[in-house]
Amino acid sequence: MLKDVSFELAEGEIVGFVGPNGAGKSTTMKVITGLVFPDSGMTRICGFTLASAPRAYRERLGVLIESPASYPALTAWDHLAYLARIRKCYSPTLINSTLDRVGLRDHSHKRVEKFSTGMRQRLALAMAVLHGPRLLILDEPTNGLDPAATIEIRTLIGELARDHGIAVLISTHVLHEIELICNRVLFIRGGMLVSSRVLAANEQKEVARVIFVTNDPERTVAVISECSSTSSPAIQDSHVECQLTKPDVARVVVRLVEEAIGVYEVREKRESLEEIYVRTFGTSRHVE
Amino acid sequence: MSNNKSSYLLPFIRAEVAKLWALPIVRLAVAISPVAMYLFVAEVYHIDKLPLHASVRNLFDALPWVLFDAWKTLFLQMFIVSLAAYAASVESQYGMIRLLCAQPLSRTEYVLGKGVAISIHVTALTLVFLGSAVAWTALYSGVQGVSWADLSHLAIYTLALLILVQALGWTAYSLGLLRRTIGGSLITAFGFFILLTFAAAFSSDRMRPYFLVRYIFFPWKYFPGLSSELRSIVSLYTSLTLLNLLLAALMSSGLALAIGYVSFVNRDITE
Repeated sequence: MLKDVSFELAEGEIVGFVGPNGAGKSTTMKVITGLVFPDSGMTRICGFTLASAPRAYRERLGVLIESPASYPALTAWDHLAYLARIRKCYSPTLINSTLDRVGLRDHSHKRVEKFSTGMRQRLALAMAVLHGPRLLILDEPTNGLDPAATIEIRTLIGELARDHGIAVLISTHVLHEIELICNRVLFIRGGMLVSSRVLAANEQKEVARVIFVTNDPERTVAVISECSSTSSPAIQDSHVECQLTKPDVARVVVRLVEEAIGVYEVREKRESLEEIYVRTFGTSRHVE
Repeated sequence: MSNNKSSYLLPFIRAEVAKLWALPIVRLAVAISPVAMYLFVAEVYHIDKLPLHASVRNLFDALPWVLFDAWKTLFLQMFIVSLAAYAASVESQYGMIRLLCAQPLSRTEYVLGKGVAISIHVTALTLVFLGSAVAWTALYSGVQGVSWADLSHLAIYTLALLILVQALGWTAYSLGLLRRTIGGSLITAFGFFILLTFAAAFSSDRMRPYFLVRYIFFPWKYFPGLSSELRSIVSLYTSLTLLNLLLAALMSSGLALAIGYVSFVNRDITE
C-alpha cells in the first residue's frame, strides 16, 4: 500500500527508484501507468492527469513493465506497426528509425520467438518509445541481460533522455545501474518515500566529503576553516576530512600551496549507492 | 501528439485486423480454404458420385451437398472458435495486456475493437470458404440455367451463414475473455461449443428452434431446389427462419459478450 509518495521528474531527467521487496516500487509504477487506481492522490504528465484526461495522459506515457512482453509469432516490425496503428502514428519511416535506434533494424522481419532476451528487451524499449513519450516508465529494464546488452540498454536510455528530453523513471534492484545512469535516486520503504539523493550528473553544486593528505594536518585544518565556515574539518588518522563544495576545494588547494603546506592527495570520499542503501534500509532481508 | 479526445476504437480495430492477419495460422487458414473446399467437392463428385443418385443440372443442385459435406467436417467452425479464443487471451498469456492497458485506449474500446477485428477475419474466411465452394462446384456442374432467383437464394444463404459464424465467433471470443491463458480460453470456448452441440436434445419444444442454432445449423430452406434425399437428412434444420437465427445469434452472443465484458473491465490487470 502506498501512503506518501510525491515526487516530480524534470524533462530529460533519469530518476532511479530503489527499495526493498514489497516497498511499493512496482505499485507506484502501476499507479503511474494507470494499471492500478489510487484511492487518493494523482499522477500528472505535462499537466494532464489520469483521472481527468486519460487519453492525453497516456499519449505522453511510455511503459516497459517487468519482463518484456511480446507476441512470439509476430516480427519486431509487426509489434511496432501494431502499436503505431493504435497510437495513430503509423509510418514505415518511424518504425524503421525506431528499430534503428534500438539496433533491431536487421532483425525487423524475424519472429520474436527467435529473439534472445536482450533483443526482446530492446524491442520492449522500442515499443515504449515509438510514439515519443514525455515520461518513460522502466521496471527492471536490464533484467536477465548479459553485460553487453546491459550496456547497450543503458546507453540507449541515456540517449533518449539527453537527446529527446524524455523523463525516465527506472525501478531496479541493480544499484550499480542506477549509479551509472541516473541523475537522482528515490528511496521507498513501506509505501513511503524515505529519502532522495542527487547522483553524479547533477552533483556539481553539492557538498562533498573531501579528504586532504598533507604534511601538516593541524595547519591544513586552519586553512580549510579559513576558506569555508561550514566545512567542519577534522583530523582522522593522518589525514583531514571535511565537507566542501567543489569551488571551495579549489580555493583550499590554492591556499595550502600559498602556505607552503605539502599536499600529497586530495580526493572525494564518495559514498556508494550500496552504502547509502544499507544505511537507509539496513541489511536485513525481510520483505515488507 | 495532441490533447486528442477522439476515439481510439477505429485505429485499434485497424491495428488488430493487421495483427491477426500477420499471424501465420490465419493466413494459412485463408490459403488452404480453397484447397480444402476442392477436396470436399472432389469427394462429393468422385467418391459419393452425386450425379448418379441425384439430379444435378447445375451448380445450385450440387451446392447444398458440397456445403453440407464441408460444414459437417467442422473445418470452418473449429477455425473460428480457435481464432476467437486465441485472440481473446493472447495478450494475457504473453503479458502484452499491461502494455495495451497503458495505451490511450479504454477497456470498452479494447473489448469491442478486438471483437470487431475477429469478426472481420471470420467474415473474410467465411466468404473465401463459400466462394471456393461456389467456384469449384461451378467448375464441375457448370452454370447453365442459373437464374436470378438462384442467386438471391445464395445471397440469403450467405447472410444466414454470416449471422451464424458471427454468433459463433463473438461467443467464443467473449468466453475467451474470461480466461487469462490461451489454453484456458480454448478449453472454455470449445467446452461451450460441445455443450451447444447437445443442447437441442435437452430443450423444450418452445425453445427448440433457438437451441438448434448451433454449429450444425444449415439454412437449407433457402435452397428451393434441395433434393428430397438431402432434405430428409437435415429436416430438423429446415424449419428455421432468418428471424429464428438472428434472435438466437443475438441472444447467445449478446449474453456471452455481456459476461465477458463485465469480467474483463473489472479484472485486475496486474495479476
